[in-house]
Amino acid sequence: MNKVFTPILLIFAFMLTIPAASAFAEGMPEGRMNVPELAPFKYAPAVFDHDPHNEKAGLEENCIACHHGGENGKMDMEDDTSGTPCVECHSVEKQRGVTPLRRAFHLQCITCHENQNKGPVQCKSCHVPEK
Amino acid sequence: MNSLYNFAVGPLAWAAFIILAVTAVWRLWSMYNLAKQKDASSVAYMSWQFSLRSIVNWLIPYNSLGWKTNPVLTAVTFIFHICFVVLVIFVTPHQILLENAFGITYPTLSSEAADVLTLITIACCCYFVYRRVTNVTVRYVTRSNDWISLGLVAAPLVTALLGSWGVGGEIMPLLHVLTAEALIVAIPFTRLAHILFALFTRAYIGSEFGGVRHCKDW
Repeated sequence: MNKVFTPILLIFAFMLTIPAASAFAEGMPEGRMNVPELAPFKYAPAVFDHDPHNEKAGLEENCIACHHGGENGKMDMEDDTSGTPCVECHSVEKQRGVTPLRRAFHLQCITCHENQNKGPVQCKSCHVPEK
Repeated sequence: MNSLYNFAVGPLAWAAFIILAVTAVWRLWSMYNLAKQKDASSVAYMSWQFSLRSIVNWLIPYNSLGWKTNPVLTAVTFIFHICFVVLVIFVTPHQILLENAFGITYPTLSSEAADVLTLITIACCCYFVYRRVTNVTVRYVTRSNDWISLGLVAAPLVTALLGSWGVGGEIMPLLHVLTAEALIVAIPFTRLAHILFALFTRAYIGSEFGGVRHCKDW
């Protein structure tokens, strides 16, 4: 039995040495998303600072990458909706032809982070617990 | 780390579920054929009424003689299974994964409640370990398959709890996903196959006791 348990224990012992914070360390912005429509929150609001994020991601000239338009469930990547709050189109509750707000945020961030292979994709890497 | 995690929650998860589906069907089919070949009369005696009667009666805690004989084990078994199923379905990150992939939404547990249920479930696993080691009868029939199955179940629970506490940073959620996928794939090939077979085992015994022996099997 020791043959099985010893490596497992060693792996866990090793992981305990990795500081929890190291994963979400460098250049993490200070601000957080402010979307009171989604309250009550089960996790702390996602860490996100608009300007530093976009500077780092090279998105300063490309507002439409996030602020897209759309109609009848179809995204319109030509229609710049900067300045329009997301919730105006993405209702909190499910509606026909509308991606609900929380799903819209998750897909927006995670899909881009996946495609770019940059930025966090795990729950707590964005929803860092508040101290 | 990102690409590994994305691979684990994406293609690897699909692979795990597809492997489970295919091998589960194969295991059930080959077991049915084995029963037909070796015990054809039992197949002939299978009855919906006696099957369901047995299943329902064994689903009620302390209803059957078997459950009454080992009161502590019965409590731990029921708590373990209920907590495990509740956790799998109702923890927020699982629902969010389903929401992101398929748009499925439903109410979920707070992370504090999930932590408590996970701790309870791990405690149940500890009791199973304790019982396997200390109970002579159980120890005698314990094989490495039993330990592997128990380990496969405990690993995603432990990694989920440590992840929830922030231990190990981004490695822990990745390990959680990987160990859970190992568990999913292992279901048809280990003692965990009771997930597939339990209802049929009950149905088989229920039908024999009802149709042949004309007595209760609980």
